[in-house]
Amino acid sequence: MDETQLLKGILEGCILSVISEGETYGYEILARLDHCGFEGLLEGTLYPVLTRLEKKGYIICRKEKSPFGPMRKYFSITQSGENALTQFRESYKKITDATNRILEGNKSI
Amino acid sequence: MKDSYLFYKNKLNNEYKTAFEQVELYVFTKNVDESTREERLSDLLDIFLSAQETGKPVEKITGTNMERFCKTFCSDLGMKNRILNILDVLKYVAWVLLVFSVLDVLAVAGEADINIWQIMSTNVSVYIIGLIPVGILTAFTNSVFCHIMFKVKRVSMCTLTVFTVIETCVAFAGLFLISNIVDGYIYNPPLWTVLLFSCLYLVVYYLLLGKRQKRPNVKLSDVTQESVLTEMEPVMMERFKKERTKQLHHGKDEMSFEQFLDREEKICRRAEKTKYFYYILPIIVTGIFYTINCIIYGFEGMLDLILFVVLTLTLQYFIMFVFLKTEKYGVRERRAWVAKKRDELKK
Repeated sequence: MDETQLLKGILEGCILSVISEGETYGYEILARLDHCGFEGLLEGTLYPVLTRLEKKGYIICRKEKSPFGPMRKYFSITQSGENALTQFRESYKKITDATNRILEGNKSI
Repeated sequence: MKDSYLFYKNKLNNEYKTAFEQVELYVFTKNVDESTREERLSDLLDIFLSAQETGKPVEKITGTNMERFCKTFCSDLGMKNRILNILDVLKYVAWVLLVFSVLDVLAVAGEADINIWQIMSTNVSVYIIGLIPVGILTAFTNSVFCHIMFKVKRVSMCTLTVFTVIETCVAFAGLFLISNIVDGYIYNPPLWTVLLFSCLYLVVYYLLLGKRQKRPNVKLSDVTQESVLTEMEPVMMERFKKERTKQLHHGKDEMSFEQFLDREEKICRRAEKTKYFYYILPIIVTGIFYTINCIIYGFEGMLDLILFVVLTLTLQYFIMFVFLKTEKYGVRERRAWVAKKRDELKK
C-alpha cells in the first residue's frame, strides 16, 4: 500500500506538532520528522504544507538571515493553530484506536 | 544588498548544486512572479545548505526521483502566481503606453481646434498593443522550451542558440500573421483610451500589489563575481607567467607578483578613464545624425525628434553593451581579483 497516501492525511498535524514545540525553521522541521521515522517520505511536501498552514492562520512566520546567507523563515504556532492541533490529536487518537481494533480483530480471526 | 539566494548558490557542493539547479529550472518553468520564485528558492537553498553542513547526501532531502520532488515542491504554485507574473509584466507595458501617450498630448498641446476625444494615439502605442499577442506567443514558446530543457537536463550554447533562433522566428511569424489579420495595424485606439487604461492599470496595480515583498535588487555582476574570480585564477596566473618570461627575455629583472599586481591595477585604471569616452561617444554620434537628418529630411514634430534621439541612443548603447559582454573578464573583475590577491598577500 502506498505510504504517501497515508502520510498526506497526517502530515499537516505532524508538522504543526513540531512547530508547537517552539519557533523553528524548514530544515529543523525536516530533521525532526526524519529523526522520528519519516525519512524519505517527504520529498518536497514540506513547503506546500507550510504554505497551507500559513494560509489557514495556524502558523506565522518571520524572516531573518540564516547563518549561511539566504533569508530563512522561522515558523511559530498561533492560537488557532494550537486549537487545530488539539483537534487533530483527538481525531488521530480516535482513528488509530479504531484502526488498531480492526487490525487486531483481523489477527484474532 | 545581498538578500537574494543567487549570492549563496555557489556555497553548495557539486551534488547539491546540481539538484538545486534542476529545481531552479523547474520553478522557472512555472512562470510564477519574481517574489514568489525568489522566496521559494531561498527557502530551498537554506535547507540544502543546512543539510550539506550536517553531511547529509542530497537524496535524503530530495529522494531519488528529482522530477517528483520538483512537482511536489511546486504543487501549490498555481494559476494565481502565473497571473501575478503577467500583471507584473503588463505594468511595464502600461508605463510605456503612459509615457508615449503623454508625449502625444504634449505634441498637440497648444494647437487650436483640437478635440482631445478624437486624437489618435501614435504608432508606438499601436505597435505595443499589437505586440501583446506576439509577447504571449513567445512566452508560450519560452515555457515549452523550459519544459523540454528540464527533461533533457543538459543545456549547451548550441541548444540556447537554436532556441533563440526558433523564438525569433516565432515572434516574426506572429507579427506577420497579426499584421495581415488586423490589416496592417488598423487598430489605432483613441488617445484618451490609452491614457485612461495605462493610468487606471498603474494605480490599481500599485494599490493592490505594490506592497508585495520586492525581489532584492540583484546585480548579476555581484552574484557572479565570486565564481568569476575563482575562474579567473588560472588565466591571470598564466598571464603573470607570460609577463615574467617576457621581462627575462628582454634582459630585465624577474617580475615579482606584487609588481604584476601593480601593473594590472595600472591597466585597469587606464581602461576606467577611457570608459567615460565610450559613454559620451553615442551622444556625439547621435548629435551628428541629428544634424544630418535636420539638414536633409527634417522632423515632423517634437515627438518624431524625441523618438529619433531615443531610438538612436538606445541602439548604440545596446551594441556597446553587447560588445562589452563578449569580453570574458572586464575591468571590474580584474580589479576585484587584484584586490583579493593583495589581501591574501597581506595575510
